[in-house]
Amino acid sequence: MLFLSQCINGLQLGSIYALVALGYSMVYGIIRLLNFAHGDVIMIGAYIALLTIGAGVNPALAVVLTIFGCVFISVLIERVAYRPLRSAPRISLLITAIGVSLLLQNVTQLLFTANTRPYPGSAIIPSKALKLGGLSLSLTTIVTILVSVGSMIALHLLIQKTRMGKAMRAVSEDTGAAQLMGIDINRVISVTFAIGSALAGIGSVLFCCRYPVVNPNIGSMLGLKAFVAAVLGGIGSIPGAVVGGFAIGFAEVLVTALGFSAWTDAVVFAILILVLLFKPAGLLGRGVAEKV
Amino acid sequence: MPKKPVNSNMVPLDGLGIIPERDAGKPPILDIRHLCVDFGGLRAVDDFTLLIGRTEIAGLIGPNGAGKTTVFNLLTNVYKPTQGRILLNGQDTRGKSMHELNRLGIARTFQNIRLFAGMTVEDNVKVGMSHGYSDGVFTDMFRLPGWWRTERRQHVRALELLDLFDLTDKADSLAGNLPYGDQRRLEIVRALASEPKLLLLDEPAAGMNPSETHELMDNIRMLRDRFDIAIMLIEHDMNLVMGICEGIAVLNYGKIIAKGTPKEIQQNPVVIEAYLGEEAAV
Repeated sequence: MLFLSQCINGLQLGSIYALVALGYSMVYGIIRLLNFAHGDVIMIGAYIALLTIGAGVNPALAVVLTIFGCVFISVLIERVAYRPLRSAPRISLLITAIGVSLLLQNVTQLLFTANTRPYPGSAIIPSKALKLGGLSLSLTTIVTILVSVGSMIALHLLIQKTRMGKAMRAVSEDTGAAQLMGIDINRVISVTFAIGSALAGIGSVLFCCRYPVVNPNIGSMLGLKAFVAAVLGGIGSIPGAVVGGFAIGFAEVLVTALGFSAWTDAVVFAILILVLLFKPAGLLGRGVAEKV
Repeated sequence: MPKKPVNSNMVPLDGLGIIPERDAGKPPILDIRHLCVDFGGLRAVDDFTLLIGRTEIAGLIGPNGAGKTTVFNLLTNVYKPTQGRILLNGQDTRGKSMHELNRLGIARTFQNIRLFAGMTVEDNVKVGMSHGYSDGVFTDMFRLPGWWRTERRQHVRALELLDLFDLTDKADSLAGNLPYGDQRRLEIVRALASEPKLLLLDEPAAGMNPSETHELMDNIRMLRDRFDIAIMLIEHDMNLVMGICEGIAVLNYGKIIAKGTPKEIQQNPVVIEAYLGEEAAV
């Protein structure tokens, strides 16, 4: 029974990592950028929920505002910081992403101080527990798993079944050819950022309901772990991000359950090193030779 | 299909080049003047001036490394020219993005095949239809009735185009799994899907055997007659070039060393020298 409840625990954490990893992987698939600001967008989302609920906004509406806020800020970042560097060397883009990440953290700190604040998680998902046999499940766990899996299915349908998804797949396979076939790449990139950060917004709410504290740095560790998940699954691969997210979630829960909770971060990054050493393309990634 | 005879007399235009007599009344589809591009210190294309008539089949030939594909990349704004200008259908292409150029009526294939290998044959063709079929984001995401109408139109049109190259029965295969010759043909279909006025073919016969090449020649003529478009091709197969091109430009070290009809090119000593080396020309 303990094993089962730990599995469900891993499923909850893993589904959050998967949601965030999807944003990394989608953006990487389209413009080959490791968007290190992704985690900080999640932190911004946490503040949006915190402040709006604090101001008396209906929690459901606050969740919607969080998601739209994340979308808005991501699309804005792409437009202002990344788009002008579209034809610049990739390293410039990467450094810019790190810069944007630091900017978001520091502006937030300036506006709201570095103090850790409690997140109104119980206003969003009531803290109830359901008993199934001997198993006790919190409502947060159930909602997290259902919402995450639902979002992933929606994303899958969007990519496989819509015309925009087709354009995204084409751009991710061969950007130049896609443009020459008439695809407006700016539109595709904006939509990709929007979708990735909508998932981040959902992830923000779910993550903060699990760990209900907010400070300007909560996004960086979550972002890094989701990045590891994306690399583990094969960065650029959508199913890979999901598999990687769950794998990292389970690994963390396993390490904690074995009594080494101080070691969880170390284990996650050890996984990154091992992946980079032995399977750099990731579990489901395509080992594409660099185009010259 | 009965071939309609095409008058291939070439006439001079503005003293800059020749275009087919039948296109003489209309402005050329492509008007390139003094195009240059430098890569570092190297001038890859130098003073390239060329006119192409609205229904002309034009050839661009030259030894390996002469800059032929670079010209195609300049025409599609993959590279920006250092000097000179390109008028496509009367419009300056400078500063246009690649997809805008596609909208203006230019489409191309690639020397090294660049299909979307992980997508189906039909989806590859549909990507070529990206413009002219744009529903709003919500219509797309929720598959509102408008989405289905567009989908049906695209489906019918994709199958029509695939049928031209006998690819209809492979519509559901992954593009990457097609045999080589079919991939080349699919690239042409995908380019046609965007309804170009000028189709650029980069070595369409590469890797094809003589009978396939012969069929390709018939197909290229058929495309021109059926869609009333201009086609510009880069090709090393001289039977194909001399057999279907009406105007030919020869490029060597980035410079045009000869322009003319197939007959003129074949007899031009400068061309023979560029291809065979100096001794052979003597």
